[in-house]
Formats: sequence, C-alpha cells, structure tokens
Amino acid sequence: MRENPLRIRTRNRAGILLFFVTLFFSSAGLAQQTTVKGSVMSEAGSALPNVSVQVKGTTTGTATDSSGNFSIVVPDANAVLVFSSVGYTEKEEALNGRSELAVVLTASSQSLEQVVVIGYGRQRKSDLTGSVAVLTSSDLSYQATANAAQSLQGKVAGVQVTNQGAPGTSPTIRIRGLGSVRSNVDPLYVVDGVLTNDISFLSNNDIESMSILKDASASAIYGIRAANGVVVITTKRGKSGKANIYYSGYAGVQKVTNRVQLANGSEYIELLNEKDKIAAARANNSNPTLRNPGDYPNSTNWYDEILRNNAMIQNHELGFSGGTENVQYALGGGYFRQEGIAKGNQYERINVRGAVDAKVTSFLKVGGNLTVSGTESDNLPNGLFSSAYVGSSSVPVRGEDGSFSDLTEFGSFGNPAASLFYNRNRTKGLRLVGGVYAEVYLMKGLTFKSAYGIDRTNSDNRIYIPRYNVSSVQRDTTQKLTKKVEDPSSYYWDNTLTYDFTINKDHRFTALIGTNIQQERIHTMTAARLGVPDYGEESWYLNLGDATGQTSDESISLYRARSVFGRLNYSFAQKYLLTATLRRDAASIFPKSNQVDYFPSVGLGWVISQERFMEDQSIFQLLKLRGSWGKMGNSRIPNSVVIGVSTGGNYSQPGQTGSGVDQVGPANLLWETTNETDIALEMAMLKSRLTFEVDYYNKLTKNSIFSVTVNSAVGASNTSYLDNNADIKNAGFEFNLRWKDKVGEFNYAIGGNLALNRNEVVGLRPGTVGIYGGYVNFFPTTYTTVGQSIGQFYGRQVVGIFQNKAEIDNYKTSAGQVIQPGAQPGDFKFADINNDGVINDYDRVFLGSSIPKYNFGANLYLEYKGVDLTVDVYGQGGNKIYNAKRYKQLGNENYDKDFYDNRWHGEGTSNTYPSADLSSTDANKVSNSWYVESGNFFKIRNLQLGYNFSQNLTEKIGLRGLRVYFNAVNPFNFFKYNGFTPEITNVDPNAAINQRVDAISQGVDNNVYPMSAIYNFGININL
Amino acid sequence: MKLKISGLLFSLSILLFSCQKYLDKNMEGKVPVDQAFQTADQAKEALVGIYSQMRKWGMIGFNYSIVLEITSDNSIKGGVPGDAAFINQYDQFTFAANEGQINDLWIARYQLINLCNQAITKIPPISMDESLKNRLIAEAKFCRATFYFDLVRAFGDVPMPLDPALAVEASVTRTPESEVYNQIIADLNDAIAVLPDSYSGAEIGRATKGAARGYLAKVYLYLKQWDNVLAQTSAIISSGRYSLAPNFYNMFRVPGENGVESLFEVQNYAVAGNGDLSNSQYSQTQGIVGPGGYGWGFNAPSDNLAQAFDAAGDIVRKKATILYNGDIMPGGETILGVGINGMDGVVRPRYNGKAYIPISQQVAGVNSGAEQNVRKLRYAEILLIDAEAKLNKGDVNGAATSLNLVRARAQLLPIAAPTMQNIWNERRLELAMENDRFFDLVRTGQAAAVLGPLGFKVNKNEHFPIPQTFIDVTNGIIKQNPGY
Repeated sequence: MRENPLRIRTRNRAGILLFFVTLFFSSAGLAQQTTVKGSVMSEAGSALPNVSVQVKGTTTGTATDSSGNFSIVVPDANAVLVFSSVGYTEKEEALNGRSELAVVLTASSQSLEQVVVIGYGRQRKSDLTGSVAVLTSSDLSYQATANAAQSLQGKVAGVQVTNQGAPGTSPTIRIRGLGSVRSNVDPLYVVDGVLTNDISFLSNNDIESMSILKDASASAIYGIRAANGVVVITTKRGKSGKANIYYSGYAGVQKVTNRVQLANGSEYIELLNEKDKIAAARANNSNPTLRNPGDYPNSTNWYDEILRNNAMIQNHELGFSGGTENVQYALGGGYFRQEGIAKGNQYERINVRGAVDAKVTSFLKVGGNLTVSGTESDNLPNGLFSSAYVGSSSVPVRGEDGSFSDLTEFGSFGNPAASLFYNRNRTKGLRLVGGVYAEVYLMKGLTFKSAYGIDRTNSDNRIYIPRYNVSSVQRDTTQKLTKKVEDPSSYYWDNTLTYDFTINKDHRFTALIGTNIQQERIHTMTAARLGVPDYGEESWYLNLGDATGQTSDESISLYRARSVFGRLNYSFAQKYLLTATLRRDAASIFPKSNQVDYFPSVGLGWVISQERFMEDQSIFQLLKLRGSWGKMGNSRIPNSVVIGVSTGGNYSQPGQTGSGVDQVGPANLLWETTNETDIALEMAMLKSRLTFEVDYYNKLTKNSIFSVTVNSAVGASNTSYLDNNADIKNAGFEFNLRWKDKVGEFNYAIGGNLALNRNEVVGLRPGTVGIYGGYVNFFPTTYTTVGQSIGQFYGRQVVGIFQNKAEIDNYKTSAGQVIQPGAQPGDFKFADINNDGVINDYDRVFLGSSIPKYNFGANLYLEYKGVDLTVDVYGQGGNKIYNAKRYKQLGNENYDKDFYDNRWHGEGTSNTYPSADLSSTDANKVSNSWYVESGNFFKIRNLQLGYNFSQNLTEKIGLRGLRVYFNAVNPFNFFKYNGFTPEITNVDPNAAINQRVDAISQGVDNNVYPMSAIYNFGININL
Repeated sequence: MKLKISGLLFSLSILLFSCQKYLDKNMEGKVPVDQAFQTADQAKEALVGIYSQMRKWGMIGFNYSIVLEITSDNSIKGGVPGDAAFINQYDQFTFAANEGQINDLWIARYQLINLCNQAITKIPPISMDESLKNRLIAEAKFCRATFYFDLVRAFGDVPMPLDPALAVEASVTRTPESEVYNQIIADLNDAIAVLPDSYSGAEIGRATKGAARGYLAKVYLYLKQWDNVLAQTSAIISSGRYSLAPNFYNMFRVPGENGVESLFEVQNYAVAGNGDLSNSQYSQTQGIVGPGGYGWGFNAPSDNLAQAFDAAGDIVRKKATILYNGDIMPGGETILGVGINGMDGVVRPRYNGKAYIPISQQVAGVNSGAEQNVRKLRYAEILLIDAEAKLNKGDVNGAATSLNLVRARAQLLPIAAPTMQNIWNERRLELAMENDRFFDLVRTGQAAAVLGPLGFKVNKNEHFPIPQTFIDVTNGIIKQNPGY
C-alpha cells in the first residue's frame, strides 16, 4: 500500500515535538520520566483506535492511533494507566516498571462501565448514585436532525421533546414534568462549561457526549439553575495520533405530513348559506339573503398557495483533528441550509469551530475552543397559517387582471398569497461560544482547573412594509421599517480543585470544591420609522425614513450569580457508593437582603452484584439499588418583577411628560425551590445483554412563581403580580429496557423506554386564586389552580347538539326552567353544571391538560456485514389539544373538510359536530369541550439505512472509512387530532428571549407551523 | 515543592475570590421607585400622569357607557348582531358580580385614586414653589373626589384608601357611604380654596375652582342639602365665567372643546404615530359601525329616548343626540354604516351624537376618533341643579329662571311654574348619553317605575355588585351588596 504523504508528515512533526518536549522536561529536572509504549486490542483481537490512555490522577494522556498503538511519557515507572473508550469497560493497568504493554479491553455490551460526563467532572456510570442518561456521538450519528436537542426525542425516558416545524427553531424540552407556571422551565445546557439555554449553534457531529442529569444527586451541583434538569454536553476535541480528516454531509427534501384539508369553494358557499339561514332564524328574520352558488365557480386551496411541495435541506461538514502527545487540535466548519415548508421561509447557518489542548509542562495543561455560528433566516409574516385556514376558498388567488384578489366581500380577510408576496422579514445573527481553561497538576491526584467562557449573540431583525393595496383590510402606505437588535451575552468563570485518592485500596474518594461567577445579560433595542423609500434592500435603513413619528424602545435584564460548590464521591469496594454535594448560590436579581441559598444533595448506591453472596450466580452482571435526595433551585423567574416608575407613554399629554408610581409587587420575590427524591433499580443480566433500569421520582417545587391578584382597591395599575405562591408536584416512573446481542456477524439491539408523569398544583397560598391562560378571541381556554395540572383546559361541557326546537324546549331544570332558551337547532347543548337553569361561567369544568401523562420511545438497530438499519419511534398520550383554529370562527371564515363532512345540517345528521353557525352566538364561541381533542400520537421519528464500506475496500481507495445512508425523519405519524401536527408549542416571538414559552397556554393550536417529513441521502468520509 | 505549595495557595485564593459589589445589580433599565417625588418637575409629572390616565379604557371605554348609560332607559347595546352580547346583561339587569365591566369600572377608579393619593401625600415634602405645590395638591384632591363620587354612587360603602402607605389596610374595609361623602366634600372644599379660575396654554382643561364648585354642587344635590347646593351654584353663576354655548350641536365637536359652557372635560388627543397619546376609545366604541363608519356602534340611543325628545317637542337636542343612519349632518356628511336591520336590537341603526366625530376631522393611523373629549360637567347641568335646589327650597321663580335658560337654548318654550318632574325630564333630555341618567333615576327615586320593566329590582339594583374578584382576594372579608 502506498504511504499517505500526509501521514508521514504528521508522524515526523509529532516526533520533533516529542523530542522538544522530552528535552524540556528533562532540563526542567522534574521526577524520573519513562516512555511507555503499547497496543490496545478488543477481545476479538482487532486493534482499537482512539482509546483514551490516561496516567491516573494526572492530566497526562494520549489516545491510540488507527493501529491501536500508543506511546506515553509517564512521571514514574509505577504509574497506573487508565484505558477508556466508549462502548468498552474502562481498565486500569499498573505499570510496575514495565515499559511495554498489551492491553485487552472488553466490550461492555451495555454502557455500565462507561465513563460519563457529569457536572464539573467525569464518573464511571457504575459509580453513579444519580439518574444520568447519556447519548454518545455514535447515538447521534444515526440521525440527521437539524438541532441536536431534537435527537433526544424518544431516546431518554422522562424527557419530553416537542418539535416546532419552522427551520432554525429549537424544540421545547421538559425533563420530568413542569415545575413552574411563570418561570422559564427549559433545562440548563452546559456546553464545555458554558451555561446556555439554546444549543442551536451545535450540529450533531460536534458533540462527543450529552449527559442528561435528571435527579437531584446529579444536578444539584448546579444549584439555583438545576431545577429544570441539566444537559451537560462535551464537544469533540482532537486526539493525539494520526490526523483525521472527515467530511459528513447530507441533502434531501422535506414534505408536509398529515395535511389539513379545507372546504373547497362550493362547499364553503354551501356552509355559509347554512350558517346564514340559522343566524337569520336566531334574529327572527325569516327572509335571509343567501349566496347563489353559481356566482362562485372558483375554488382555491390556500395551503397550496403558501406551502412548498418539496422543501430542500442540506448539510455539509468538514473537519480536521489530530495532534501529538502534548498538543491536540480539532478544526472544522459546516454549512446548513433548510427551506421552510412555507414558501419564502428559509434558514441558513455557517459554523466554524476550533479547539486546542496543550500540555505546556508536566503540571500544566491549557486549552481553548471557539465556535462561531452565523445564521440568516427569512421569516414568515405573522398569522400566515391562520389566514390560509380562514381565507375564503371560493375566491381565486388573483383576479383576471393579475392583481391579488380582494377577499373582503366575505369579511375582513387578507389574501394569504399577497401577505407572503409583500413580506420582507429577515434575521441575521452571529453567535460566539467559547472558552479557555488551564489545568494545574498540584500533586498526585490533586488538580486545579480554572475556566473562563463566553456566549454572545448579535441578532438583527429587519421588517419592511412596502406600499401595497390588495383590499381595504390589506393595504399599507406607511413604508414602515422596523429594526430590532438583540444581543444576549453571558460569561462564566469556574475554578475547581479536584482531589482523587484511595485509602486502604477499598476506599476510593473524589473530592471537588469550586467557585463560579456568571453573568447573563439580555438586551434588545427596537426602532422604527415610516416613509422609508423602497429601492430594494439597499434603501431599507432608518436614516432614510421620516424622523417625525419615529419610535424606539430598549429593554434589558441582567443576572449575576456567585457560587461556591463542593462534591464528595466515596466508594467502598465498588459496593457502597455515596455522593454528597452542596452549593451556595447568590444571585443579583433578588432583593439585596435575601440573595443567598444553599442547595444540598445526597445519593447512596448499593451494588448488590458485588456482594459475596452474589458471586456464584451468573444471571446478574449488575444489580444496583440507588436513591437520592436533593434540593435545587430555579432562578429563571420572570424579570418583570422589580418595580420602577411608570413614565411617558399613556402617562403623558402632548408636550408634557407624565409619570406615576402605580405598581405593587411582592416584598421579597425569591427563586423557586425543588426538592426531589429518586429511587432506582438498575440491572444487567444474561451476560449483560439485557439491561433494565427503573426510576421513581417525586419532585416538589415550593415557592413556585404564581400570579397573585392584586387587591384592586389598593389601586395598582397591575391587576396581578408574581410571587412565590404555589407548590407544584411532579411524580412518576421511568423504565428503560434494552437487549443487545450478536449472532454470528449479525449485530442487533432493541430498546425501549416509558415515562409516566403526574403534574399537579398541590397548594396555593391563601388569597391566591387560579390563573386563566390560553386566551383565544379574548376568552381563556385554560385555568390553573389547586388539584389540577398546569394549564388545564377549562370550559363548558358539550353534551350534544340540539336536533330540533322540541329538544331545546325540553332541555329544562327540574324546576322546569328552559336552560338554553336562545338556542337554535344545531347549537351546542351544554351541561348545566350548577343546576341554576342558566349556562354561564359557573358551568365550566376541567377538560384535560396539554401535559402528557406518558411518553415512550423505542429504538431498533440491526447490522449485518456493514449494512445497518436504525429505527426510532416516539409516542405520547393522555394529553389534550385545544383546536383553536376552529375556535376562530367569528363570521365567514372557511371551515376544514372534516367539519364539512361531519357537521350538523338538519335533524339527525350529527350529535357531535355543531351547525355551521358558530359565529352568531357567543355561546358557541366561549371555550367548550368540543374544541378539546386528543393529543395522543405515535410516530416513526427516525429511520436510517446505511452501509459502511469494508476496510479492505476503503483502504484501496485511500480512505479510512466510508459510509452512505438514507435517512427519513418523521416519515410516518399517527394521530387523530384535526391539525397538521399534535406537537403544539405556543411561542410568543415578541417576548424576551427567555420568556417566549408560556406554560399555561401550551397545547392551544392557533395554526402552528406544519410539521414535515425529511428524506435525506448522506455520506460520511474519513480520510 | 515550593512551586506546588504556592500554586495551591494561589488556587485557593482564586477559589475564595469574592466581591460584594458584583451582585449589586438589580435595577438595570428602570427608574427606582425611591427616586420619585423628589423634585418640582416630578410633582408636575405626577399630575400630568393623573390627567392622562383618565383617558384610559377603564375610565372612558366600555364600562363608562355600558354600566352607567345602557342600564338606563336612554340606550341599548347596539353594535352588529351577536357582537359583545354580554352588554345586554346591563340593559336587562342580569349581570352578576363577576361581570368584567363592573370590575373594570372599580379597578380603574381605584388606580386613579392611588395616583392621587401618591401626589397628595408625597408632594408636600418637596422643596418647590409653594403656590404651585398647593395647586398641584388641590388638583389631585379634586380628581380624587370625582373618582370617589363615581364609586360611592355605583357601590355604596366602599374601601377608602387615602394614603398609599396605608392602602392595604384601608382596602379591606368598606367605609360607610356618609364618610365617603364627607371625604369628597372635604377634598372639594380644599380644592375650591386653592384652584385657579382658569388656565392657559398646555394646561387648559385642568381642574379649576369652577369645576370643583360644580362637582360640590352635584354632590350636595345627591345628599339633598339644598342650601349647600345653592351656595355653590350661585357662586358659579355669579362668577360670570360660564354661559350656555349658543349651538348645542357644535358644543360636542372638537372645535367646541373646553368652551364657554365647559366646567370639566377629559382631555383626549389624536397624534399621528403615537398610540399612547391617542389611546382614548370613547368615540370609537360608540362610533358609526360598518362601511363608511369608523367605530363599533355600541351604546345606541333607545327608541324610548327618541320618544321622550318627541314628546317634549325637542328637535334641536334630539338631532344632536341621536344620529340615525342616513342623517345628513350640519357639516354636510351623511351618517352611513350598516343598513336597516344591521344593528342589534333596532330596525334603524343610530348612534350617540355626543361621542360623534366626523371622519374627515379625524387623525388617520390611530384609534378612530381618539381626539374627542368627554364632557364631564357642563354649565347647563349647573343651571338644572340650581333649579332643582331652588324648587326644593320653594323658590319656584328662581327655579324657572335657571330651567328656562336651558330650555331656551334648545328652542323650547319656557315653563312658568316648573314641577320637580319638569326639571328631571329636562335633565334627561339635556344630559342624555352623557352617562348621568342611571344614577339620576336612582337618586330621584324614579328608578323602580322607569327601569322596573327592564328588570331593575328595588333594594338590589340601586347599587352594582362589588366585583367578585375583589371579594375573593379579601377572602370574603368584604361582603357583597344586598341581592347579589
């Protein structure tokens, strides 16, 4: 085989560096050093590349090259080397003077022996006392998701992932339920030490491992930020040995799934005439004016006009990594582009990242990494999907003269195609995430580490409204330009001291103490002017607009925290495990007199399979019982709680500024506190082929932020304020089962997980009443109060549809009072819950919650001679969706086809769907049970069929690895809900970055972005 | 070894690094509350804030006309069929304690009272020009009195916070009606002693001595203290500052704002591009609805009111008060909007003329009709109050003199020896759609007879229910009004 020139050069360079380093060390005269060489193999005898080789208790380490060989300088001849690699049992080998060794690693058919990343450190999974789920780079490599957080869906029990369809958006993630009504409940992401809320700057390929810290023992070390769960991510770094060059890319199309069908032109006219007849009867008008169907020959499907048939998606990444024993590097870049399923909507991202780690002296290691992520997105006009749903289908897109049609003969409807056509909304962003660190090896087992990092975004949104005139309700002559700059930024500085030591061989300790300071600043500026000329994008600058009537705004929130934390891990003979953590946090957003809290946790583990009485059995390779308790906080409370003077705006008169001191707030608003207990059983059986894990958890969030109605006679301008007023409980079970085996050359694995959760507001302080939310047409659809889950749907109970006049007249109380005297046949028949003979707000009942009672995932992996198949499924159930699309029927809005097919249109036609006249009586519009639909769904969320070319073949063409695959995301979705998708996230794009998801308005479908299936071909090349 | 020890010490010192000031950052982007009421400018801003807040929805939006006028025989819901059907509960007296408009009325007035209390208690220590300081305090007292006057008429006994520091305690007791009236009288007397007769420039429209006297006269009218009424009305009349505007229709147009007849108005504005200044929806809620219109068409004058005008032979005020679909206005424009049967509850659509503003005179791009001021107290009402007090004192001639001035402007013949009913009827026609009628019917004892057929129940509907949310938040310490 011809030598690769690149390889030669690398080797030479490594040799030179090694020479200098050795020279430096010997001249420094530090201890007596030896070079140890060796190889690492699997049980089957094949060389294992990329195995981490570490001198125990130091930062010195290297990795094996592609032939499984390594060479390392050790501080003394009796050092202990630690060999670890994902998928293999970690092994320690005492040198005892040897300078050459051959090491065999045994495959851990499950990942129990795996070393996992935890908060401020690493630990063997078998030593864990907390609940930690891990996804490694190989788990991530079998799915092509645009956002790494999407990869968690169905993979980890107890993690609920709700996707959003729009390109560039992040899914919402909930770990073990929902502990707050008003605060931010997103998990904390820790990416190489940087605390962040959003990991959209990472691609799946960048990630080495993701650890999901689910219980208090694992996450309480993050104290006041831990209560929503923590996801600790490490990104890939260079390894010493042969340089690696890779290309990874895919391209494909996206197609709308489960398209909602609408009533066509003639069906629409038919429905309007039915509606108008009933509305006229309601108004005692016997002679309504009806439309002549013959006058409306057109039929437009507005979804066809705004949706793409095939939306393109592509991703390309190129990376280089490698290094010598003392310096490792990784450099890479990526390009990602995704078209939205709606026309004109797209997202583009260019990433550049680099990381370097260098051993400067025997006792000092430094490193740093930086990711620069540039994004550009073309956004949709507000309410586009709603306008397509309600738009009159009997009007053509354009008139005969080619101009956009006017829909106002049916009401104040805009033309959806025109609103897309005149939309000029673009966001450009640049995000920098990175950090530097230094590790000092102070004495055997004692390491000091200092790390500083930043996360900074600059995002620039521009909306321009050109001059247009489609109709009286869809026209604008102002030429308004709005610019919004958001520049959230944060930094942190961590200092930790870690001490590993062993007493009497069986008592293993790891002690950690650390400090942290951090700042998070969220800042927005908006400015707008009218009369900005339209010579294309070049002229869309504020300075060209009209200075009179300009508006501007600025908002800021600043959060600072200072913390001290510590952890002690103790293991006795790998049988009895203890983890204790304590963190002290002080945060600036709280009153100066009350900024500090302590967050302790303790976890215990008993590895039963290590007991002497288990020695003779061979069923269990692992049997472990663990339990933990801890306290965590959530400081991400809404930032509107500090009261200031109201000034300007509607406190002013022309030319005279006014102000008022008019708000009341809590005397002492504090963080939320969550106490969590977790009890779990883990087992590995049948030669570790079968693993099973069950967790029970019980989380009680105290002092949860909840609105308090202001005593109105006090005269505050706020009718409510937020205070620490609720207790919220989340309890549930999580099950994880996995079977992995090999039959000849056939490898397979099958796994499943199931999570059950119960969410309940268990207590409110006296004087606190529930909160209404999910407003649609000014009517609330949810009510959150004691004994219910957060955001329970709330409204009248429909018991049927009135079929005729006699049924209306006979629907009476026991006292003979007609309950719905104003009803018409075809109207909803409501339950008179309080038996007072009147249907009003006192007849509302709870109608279910948007929070799933259970969710589950299953994963299948098959591999035979290089061909592999991965299938991931996900489902959830027990939750409800509020079909607010239908709720918006206020006049002549269009209807969906399902409504047309099932509506009441005469006696006996339906006892479940009402007549088309939803608009002429408020009774039909107020929140009721008909709009509440099942949210259960099940989907094949990922399917990948791939082929890894054999080494023989790739070597012939000079490659180290070559993989091709076909990948499908969401190809099959099963649900009953009448909408595009049952994954409903309500996001307020105008809210502050950390407040966009309102917990009490979830599951309300105001025409969400349609979900699409993605079909890709991909290729991975390793050089 | 030395290196390592110093390294360890250095590490520990970094670990223990701390700086207390690091956490002293929690007021970014806000004006701290403890910095308010420190300067003369801030004192002036506080009063601008009070007058400005009078424009808001809770003060002159829906509840103002729905709770105070639709409950009378003067008007009905209006609007297009099916729109805001809850308003009918006020026409038919079926509203309950959780109805939103009652809550809005209550909350908005207490919000304004809080601003007044802040000014009254926090301006005195400010070092500033004493005469300006006293005037600002007097203005705040005037405003507070008018808000408590609304509350005491609507709800009877009400919580009466006077000092923001004690507001929480004061808010959980209902102060007896008589004490609330005493406070209103005291505030108005304080205001009369200090307020100027008039203002100039940007301050036109602020509380004057005459406005305070006028409100005090009206308060005494409700208390039936006739001598006290007359002391105020005669002071106003003899001051010579006020007279009846010659043209009844023009008085309600934008150029007629703050005219010779005006004692007090809520100052509203329409400023292009500025939604905060143009936030009044007083005219929009009642404006012409449908093609060629600009508003929502609520609070439509009733047929009963039209018949009352007809029975009195009152053409001038009827034409200015009730605008029918198709009417041609003095400015030449036609009242368009929805056609026959297009308005809820009536055959021929009609609108409140006193909230009307021709589209051609409106500023585009902000709330339609935002510039229309709300006429709160006019000289014509002072004359009618004067007449009523005089008649109660047995001065029939004096009563006739005041009453007939008002009738003459409406081109009606004088009544030589008016009865009490004559004066009350005149009040109805003169002040129709100015949100006085319901309280007046209750005050004069006519409510049972006039409103009974609409659903008014004696010993219940004289007052509105205390908002349920308020009762809930006090854990039931505050008790509901009888009958609710």
